[in-house]
Amino acid sequence: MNSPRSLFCVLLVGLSLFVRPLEAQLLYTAGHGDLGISYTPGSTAFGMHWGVDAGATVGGTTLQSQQDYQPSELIAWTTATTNTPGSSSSWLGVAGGTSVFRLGSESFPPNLGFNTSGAGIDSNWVDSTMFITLSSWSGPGNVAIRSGSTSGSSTIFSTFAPGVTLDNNTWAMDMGVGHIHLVWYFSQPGTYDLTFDWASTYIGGAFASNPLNVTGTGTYQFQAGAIPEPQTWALMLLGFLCLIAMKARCREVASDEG
Amino acid sequence: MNHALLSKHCRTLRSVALGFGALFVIQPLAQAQDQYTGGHGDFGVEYIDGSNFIPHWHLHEGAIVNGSVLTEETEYTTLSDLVAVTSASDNVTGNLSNSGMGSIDWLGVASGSAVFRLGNENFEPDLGFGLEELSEADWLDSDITIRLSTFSGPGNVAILSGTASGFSIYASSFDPTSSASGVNSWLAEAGGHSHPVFYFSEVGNYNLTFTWSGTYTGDGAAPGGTPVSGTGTFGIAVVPEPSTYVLLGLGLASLFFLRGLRKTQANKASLKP
Repeated sequence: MNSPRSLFCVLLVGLSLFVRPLEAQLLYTAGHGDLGISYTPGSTAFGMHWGVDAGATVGGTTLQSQQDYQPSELIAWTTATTNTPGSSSSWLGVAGGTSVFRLGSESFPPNLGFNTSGAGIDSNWVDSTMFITLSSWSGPGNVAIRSGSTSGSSTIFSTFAPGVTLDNNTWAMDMGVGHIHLVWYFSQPGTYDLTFDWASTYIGGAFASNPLNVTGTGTYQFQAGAIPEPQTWALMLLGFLCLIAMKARCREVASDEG
Repeated sequence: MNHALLSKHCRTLRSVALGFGALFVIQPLAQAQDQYTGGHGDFGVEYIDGSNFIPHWHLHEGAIVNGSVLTEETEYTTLSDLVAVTSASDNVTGNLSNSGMGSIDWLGVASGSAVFRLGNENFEPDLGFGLEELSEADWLDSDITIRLSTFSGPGNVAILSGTASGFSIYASSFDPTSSASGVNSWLAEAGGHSHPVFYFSEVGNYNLTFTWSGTYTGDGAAPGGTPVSGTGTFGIAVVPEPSTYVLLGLGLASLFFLRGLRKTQANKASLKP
């Protein structure tokens, strides 16, 4: 009779340990959002944030209006998978055709991009250019961020081989466009931390003749697969119900024997 | 105030009235349609097996239509039901001059000219090209060609990949040969969306006709792929900045003041013995 109870307790403790790391952060699972910045003229630092639009799903609910979150407040979570194009061995370290996790578009949510609009109009910055560098990373596998989904697309960032990217993991983003959506690949399930450094030179207003270098750094967390999906939660609930049934059955048998 | 001066003011008043009349001639098209003035939206296309592309306006939650914020994603499949309205201005200068001669060859204006612009959050509306409704795996090389096929308007329009060094000219009504393709077309990826930079040289109503084309290789495609295309005409209204309207209003108020002054003077004159 003690056995099912023990099993149940072990299961419950295991579940709570698994869930606890996620409780501190909200999961951003779908809809349009960007890694964005804010800027006050005269400052030498960008403000870093996730800018998530109305209609996006955060913490299981649909946002009614655009929201900004500190980098540590959100986790972008994808369960969407794709088969890599033929060239992926050079930029993700997996053979072409391998199933990996992906995000960055409506078909591969969340629909996450990069956004420089918060820095103001592009002509206030030298050559309308923001330099974004993937400066550090951690995770169970590799990450690559590319301009498109074909073999010939440009590799912008790669943790596997920075040397194959356009400029050793630094991207000159055209601020005239405002926001750009790239294709993000994660080679293994698990949690990834990616740190991006942003840098540009402000020449707006009084700084036209005295350019000001401005920088900012943010570390963003991503979850690829791994967190149980609804079907998995359903299976766990089923198992839990079976344990209750077993417990009741044990009581019946015990009382019969008694 | 003498008679000659008053007559001059009357003529001025008539001129301003005509100016206002002309201004409102510009507006009727926009007034008959829903006006999209802010937030994120795209020129989108849908593909239903065996058909052509179906172009539409694809507006996202938070976009502003007729002054109200959309609470859900909305599509306009009757293209003439909506017009994108911009009054955002910008100067085309510096590295945007591709001639090295101080002119902007792709828009037909001098370098440094004030023109109108849209396509991102700083130059609203934040309008782009959306191909999310096409599955990338169903299209040859995931490529969709977009072409500015016809154009009408009081000035010129140009569509650029961006504004930083090395930008590409996607399309130019002033000189199509200045575009990267030479024929006002560019490649976009099925499944994605992108926001180029739109410039307009003059105030007024523009109609931009885009043609999308690609080769369908998904289920039911012909051997080697099935060519698919679609064409849609979208309206863009470029209106003066609100400050221009304020100036016009001030001018009109001044004229009313002058008219009142004239009446007072006339009354005083008639009362003299």
